[in-house]
Amino acid sequence: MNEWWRGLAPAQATIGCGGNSHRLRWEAGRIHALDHDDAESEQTLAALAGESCTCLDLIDAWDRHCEDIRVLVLGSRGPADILATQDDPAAQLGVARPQVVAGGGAGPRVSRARRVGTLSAMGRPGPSGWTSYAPGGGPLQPARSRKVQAENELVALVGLGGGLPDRLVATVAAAWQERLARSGRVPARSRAQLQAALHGRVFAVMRGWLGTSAPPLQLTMIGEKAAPKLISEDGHIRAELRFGWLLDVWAQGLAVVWGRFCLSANTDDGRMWTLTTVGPDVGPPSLIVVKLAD
Amino acid sequence: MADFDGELYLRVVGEETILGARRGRQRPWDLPLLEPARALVAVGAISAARARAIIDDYSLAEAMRSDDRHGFHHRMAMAQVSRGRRPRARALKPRRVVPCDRTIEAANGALHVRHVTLSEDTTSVAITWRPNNSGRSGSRRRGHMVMMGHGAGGPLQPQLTDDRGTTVATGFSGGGSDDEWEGRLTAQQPVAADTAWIEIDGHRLELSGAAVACEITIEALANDATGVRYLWRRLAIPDFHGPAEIEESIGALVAAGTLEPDDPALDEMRAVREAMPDHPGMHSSAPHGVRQLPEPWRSLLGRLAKQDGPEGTLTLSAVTPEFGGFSVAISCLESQPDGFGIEVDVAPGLGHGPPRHFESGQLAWWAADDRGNHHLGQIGSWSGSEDYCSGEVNFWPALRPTARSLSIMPTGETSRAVITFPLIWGDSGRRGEVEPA
Repeated sequence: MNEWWRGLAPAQATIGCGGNSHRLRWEAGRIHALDHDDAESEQTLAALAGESCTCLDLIDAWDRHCEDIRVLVLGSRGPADILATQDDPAAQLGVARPQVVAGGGAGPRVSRARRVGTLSAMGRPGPSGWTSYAPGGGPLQPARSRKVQAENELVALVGLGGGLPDRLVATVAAAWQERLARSGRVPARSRAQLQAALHGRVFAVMRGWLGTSAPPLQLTMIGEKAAPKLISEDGHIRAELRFGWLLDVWAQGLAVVWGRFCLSANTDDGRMWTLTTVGPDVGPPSLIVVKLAD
Repeated sequence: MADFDGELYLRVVGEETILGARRGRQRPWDLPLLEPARALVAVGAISAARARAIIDDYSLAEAMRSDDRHGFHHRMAMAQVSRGRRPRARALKPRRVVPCDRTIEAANGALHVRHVTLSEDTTSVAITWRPNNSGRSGSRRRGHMVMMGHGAGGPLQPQLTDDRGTTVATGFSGGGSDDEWEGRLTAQQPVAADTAWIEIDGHRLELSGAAVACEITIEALANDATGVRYLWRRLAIPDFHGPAEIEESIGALVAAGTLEPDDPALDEMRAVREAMPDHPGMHSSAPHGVRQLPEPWRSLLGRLAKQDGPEGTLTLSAVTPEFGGFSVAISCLESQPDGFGIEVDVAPGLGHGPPRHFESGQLAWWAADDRGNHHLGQIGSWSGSEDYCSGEVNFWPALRPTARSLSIMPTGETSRAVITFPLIWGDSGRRGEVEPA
């Protein structure tokens, strides 16, 4: 696993959990429930009591969706793409709050093994049972469809504050960038989803950079080892960018630096970045070096 | 179209719609991407299943950007609704339609019975209900809001009895105002289809009249999935709010390579789109250059502002076999100076409201008279389910006074039914009469 999270600052959100305010923190590619020291025991106890634990449920949901391309559809494209405020993002999870119900004659079981208080964002723990989803606080209800369950989880995750949704977007982007870099081949359907996700974010940056009357954007998603470029041609802005631009440039907040559009960003340590940039005249690229001072 | 990626195209449009750079929909409540998706599905550039998945994705994305919490939950629900395949067609059963034109005076109002429809699986009575609280006759204009149950005049759930002594309860569905309700009473179980009479809460109606006989044929249509053909058909299927917006569809079809951006038909389509009324009965003058338009649009728009239609009602008995996945029954035509309407039943149910089917889920309602004039229908009051629906289709422009016969042509993607009958009116301006053959 490469350290794809280099340069991404920690992010933290406060949510309601069991009547208290608890903290979820993302750092170095992992999300942590800071106020749950022994997550597995707490979850077991909660399950036995027919209760749920919002922090741990969200971490579970995060894990389930850390490679879900739909995160890229639902998540923000940037500062100009503002999601509606959720009064209590975790309450949205209430629509999908896991409630442990009896199934197959067995007693109450939790949905899957959980690590103590933390979970690798790229981890893939295996399932150990099943969970139905019902409105939180209400009576137990029949299992929702998996599609509805997944969408409710996505809405809850993307509605979290404190920069966590952007980190989830970065997590998903990292997973797919790795696949593209490893084999270069993904299903055509996934490729269309990835290119659209790239298009939306490049388009949003372009509108902020060149204005809404800028020439139409024609984007080509190139291989992860190909050289990106941006040219003005036939009344269009033609961009050839890697999917990795999403993680290396956009997620780092480096899409426009000094009024110049960033084609690619490279770093060895996450503190000093070399950016290949193009000015508003869409001329030849120039390098910019950005360094986080000690 | 070999290099065209329909999924990528729709998703890119979705991205730009999310960012406000595209309109993305005709009306705020429409699903995003619906029109271009329909167009691409129609020409085989993407599967209906993938198009639905993309629309679901961007519906949810838009919902999450809506400050309207009601809208958010509505869109969440719409995005999560199960979308099964369209039900298989089943031909409607033959039916006996009997004109009545009988008014029953009751303590709480007057019940005018227009016709009775009997088949082995259903019995219904077409009625107009005028509760006593009205001091004047209400509007006869069609297109009222559909309501179930009863109106302001009190419960309308009379019992039906046939000549075998069978008595059944009924339920009312229809629409109207405080002054007048129009709709049908449907028996909870069918009575004998060959009954000589029925009683409505003890008031006997002899069923001795005969509906106008109709000639029914099924015609195959050319099955060429071209962009031009799709767009003309799309224009012929307006919804409650008027004709479809076609520019997003044109963009998609041009991108897919099934339509040339300078195709001269596009100018004709845009002129037709501009001239079409949002609702039957909304009149404007015929557009310039109407004579250059192809039929049926030329004759359709040529009589756009005419209000010289005959007044009268015909009771019809027509049930089509299955065609293009549909079966249609027509039981009544009512003509007014500014247009005409028909009462129909359709199986399976037509996609109405937010569409759940891309494939062949809609009918274009064309009509043509023996003088070469064309008319286009638009769904009015409507109710039903996945398997069955019924309601009114309102046509424009008005019937030509000199027309002697009319063909109603519910048109699917690959075939159409042609239901032809004579236009023989009774006393001018009177309802419910048909001259004896």
